Amino acid sequence: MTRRRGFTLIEITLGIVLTGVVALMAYGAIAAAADTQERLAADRSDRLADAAWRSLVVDAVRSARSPLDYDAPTLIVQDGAGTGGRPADRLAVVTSSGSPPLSPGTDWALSIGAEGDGMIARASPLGPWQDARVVRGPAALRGMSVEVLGPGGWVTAWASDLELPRALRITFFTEDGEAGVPLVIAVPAGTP
Amino acid sequence: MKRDGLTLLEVMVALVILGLVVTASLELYGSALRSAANAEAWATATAYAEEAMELAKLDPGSMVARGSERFEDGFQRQVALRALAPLLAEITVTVTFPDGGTFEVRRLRESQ
Repeated sequence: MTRRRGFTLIEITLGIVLTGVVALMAYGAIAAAADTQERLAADRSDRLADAAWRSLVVDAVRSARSPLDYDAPTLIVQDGAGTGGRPADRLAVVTSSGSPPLSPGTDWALSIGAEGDGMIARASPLGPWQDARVVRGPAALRGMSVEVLGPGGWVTAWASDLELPRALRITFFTEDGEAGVPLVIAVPAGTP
Repeated sequence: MKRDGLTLLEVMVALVILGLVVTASLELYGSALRSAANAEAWATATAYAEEAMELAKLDPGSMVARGSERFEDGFQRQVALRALAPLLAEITVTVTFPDGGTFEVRRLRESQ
């Protein structure tokens, strides 16, 4: 009988097992990579949504119209409480802000507050006709607390038909409590 | 007698190459996660700086009087006011990161 050259059964079994182990490790690594990628993307989009929301509020308040232009309060802060004792204040402002999602060329009546289980900003044009805008706040936000710096110090509500407050301090809330650093906005004397 | 098999040198070269590939791929994860954490820290630091700058616009004196503030998340903040000319002052807000780096925001302000 000639001697056959080749692999023994043991060698082949060992080879298959090793291949399987290596394939499993590679699969694990790829799955972990995809997972990390997804988490980073979600993290980044949360941060962008948060920045856009804050800049909407800041731009609107910085471009607030003077109440004297409208013979009516142009910046109104209502104190409110939502579910679970979380603050659910509402801020309404007449603004000439033209930064997205608002657009220039008109004044906007903008109202921001907690609705349902999120926050919503609604803007409707007061001057030349434009589409109304509705913007949903970052998904994690549930409400906000607004304090107003009037002539006598910080108060929790505002509706003057003579003057704008000197500043606002807005604290956003998530399910777990305060979200990030409070937003302080010094209010200019009113847009000419 | 001649034995079939790999030499020690061949095995070592294979192990080194394997090691390099694994280290490189782990490093890639690490740097992605670090840059995400970094972005988070910068966003927080900017928010602290903006808050202080707005408050300093309203009342610089009280912000300077607060001295160095330390927050629960490890950030530190200090506001300084420097007179530049008879009616001009410079507000400087310095925010220190929990791991030691700092950044400054400056702004000119009319002083009465």
